[in-house]
Amino acid sequence: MDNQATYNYKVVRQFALMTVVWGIVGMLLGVLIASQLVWPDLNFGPYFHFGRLRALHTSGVIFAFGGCGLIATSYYVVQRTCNVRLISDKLAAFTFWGYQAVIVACVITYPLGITFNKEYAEMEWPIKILLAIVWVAYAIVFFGTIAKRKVKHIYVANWFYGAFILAVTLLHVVNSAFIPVTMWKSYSAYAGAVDAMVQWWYGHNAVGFFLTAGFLGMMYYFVPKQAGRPIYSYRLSVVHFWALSFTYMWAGPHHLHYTALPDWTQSLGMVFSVILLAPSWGGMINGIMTLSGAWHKLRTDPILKFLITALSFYGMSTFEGPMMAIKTVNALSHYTDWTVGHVHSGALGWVAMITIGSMYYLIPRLFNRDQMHSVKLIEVHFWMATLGTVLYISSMWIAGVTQGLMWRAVNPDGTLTYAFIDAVKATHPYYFVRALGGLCFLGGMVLMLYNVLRTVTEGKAVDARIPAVAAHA
Amino acid sequence: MEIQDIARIAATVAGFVCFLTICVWAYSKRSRAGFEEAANALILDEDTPKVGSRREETLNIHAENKR
Ligand code: HEM
Ligand code: HEM
Repeated sequence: MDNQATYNYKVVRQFALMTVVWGIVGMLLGVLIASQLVWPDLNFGPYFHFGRLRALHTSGVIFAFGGCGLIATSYYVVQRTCNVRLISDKLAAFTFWGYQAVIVACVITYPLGITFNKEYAEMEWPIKILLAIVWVAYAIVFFGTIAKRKVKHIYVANWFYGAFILAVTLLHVVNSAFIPVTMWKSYSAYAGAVDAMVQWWYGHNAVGFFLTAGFLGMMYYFVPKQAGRPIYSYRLSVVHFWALSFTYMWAGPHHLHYTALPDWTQSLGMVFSVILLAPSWGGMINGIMTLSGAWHKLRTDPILKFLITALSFYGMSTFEGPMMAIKTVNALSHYTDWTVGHVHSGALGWVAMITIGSMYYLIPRLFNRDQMHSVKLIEVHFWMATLGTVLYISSMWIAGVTQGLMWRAVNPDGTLTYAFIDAVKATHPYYFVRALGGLCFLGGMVLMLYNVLRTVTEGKAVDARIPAVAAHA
Repeated sequence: MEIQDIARIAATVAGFVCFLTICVWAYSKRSRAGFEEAANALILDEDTPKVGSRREETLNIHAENKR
């Protein structure tokens, strides 16, 4: 059992490289569908149509890019903080190949129009089952590794990763309940308003536990490591964890304001959404304050810039979210591009930036280097990503509020002031700005790919030795 | 009130009490030392490779250039 002396970096390397690859694929699709909204002529035939590619974009960036990033970092963090190798190399390899198979299956079936018709859960039932199996294997690897840890305390990042894994299992299984009709067609087991509520319980907790808790796990490891100082307040991180877990589960109804959902459910969702501001900001403050006394590092270290900017965007989107959850505000924002702006302030600003920063920390270490091939290029990437995000979200805010105001404007005699097409026309220039911002963000990702490839070719794939359990354990 | 309602109220109150207990525990004096140790252990774990490091190689290249 020679390999028990080293960490399993192989599976981390695989997932980390695929994070960059799927990031580019998913964002390329984003730029493509953004362009289709500017130039509708770009909708060629059924396979290349906005309606089909949109789902491929959302799944591509969330589950392929974000998912690979989360699995890569969770495998790294759980090994390093528990001082042991993953519990099973074979099962870990299965999670890699299985997860990639799920993604490839989505890439093939979505453009063909094969869909379960639930947002962020469009995969048809055979793929759903495969994903469930892979996910359970992932849970076994992760929790099994924690079970055989050499360090008594379970570091807080692992709690967040653990909550992410458990919650996603639960969400996927409950929301996927299907009645198969043929090999590639099934229907939801729920009906009507119940179906909608289950879907948005799923949808919102996918935000809460996939796009938030998982990436907070990343934050609690990589921010202290890159800053070279312990987390600002460990006790706050404990309270943060439980507050977030207790609150998120109840906020889903804010996606269904003014629908057939019972009114009290909507109000409940609204109240919990507003409460959610507190744990969210607690986490953000904990991350950012880790730098207190070392702010100067932010000037010279582009990786730290990525991580801290990500936290700032996290703070912004978790302020904006509770606002939008208030019913009177939602009456304006719902169905408009404001929502899309909010989504990408979280997705580009928080999820993508924290992942990119963590990958720049991780990848050289996986290839036996002490830093990336070019730190300059990371700096350039940082500014491209920031500019791209700002262009994207500011254009969508303006577009969204414009749409909301135009839709609700009425003449003194009670007729609508604007036809729907007027609002579409008013939005057009902002769609162009959004596409430009997306292109800028994507350009940064291409630089990252180049930088990563150079780092990989200069480096060597080495599994680090597990240090003898240190005196502090 | 139906039993269902009572069960719901009980679950909510139990959840809240549970959360308060966690807060008190997290901020208690007893937890302090353990937490600090956990937070510091992360920083003490040296995960930067020593061999074949870029800086070292650049230094070597510089040294070779000088020769
Ligand atoms: C290059 C960067 C990106 C571009 C140009 C882009 C573009 C777009 C476009 C055009 C849409 C459709 C909006 C509509 O239907 O009106 C969309 C939706 C979406 N994108 Fe992106 N995107 C990018 C990156 C990302 C990333 C990194 C994530 C997540 C991590 C993400 C998550 C989403 C989600 C969740 C939606 C659905 C929003 C909703 O239903 O409200 N995107 N994106
Ligand atoms: C305190 C935290 C948050 C609250 C209360 C919140 C609230 C909301 C609200 C009210 C909507 C609009 C629903 C509608 O009108 O249809 C929304 C949409 C959305 N939010 Fe958030 N948000 C929060 C944080 C985040 C974060 C951090 C992210 C991403 C990383 C995110 C991702 C999304 C997505 C993807 C949607 C669009 C769902 C869809 O319609 O397809 N949210 N959120």
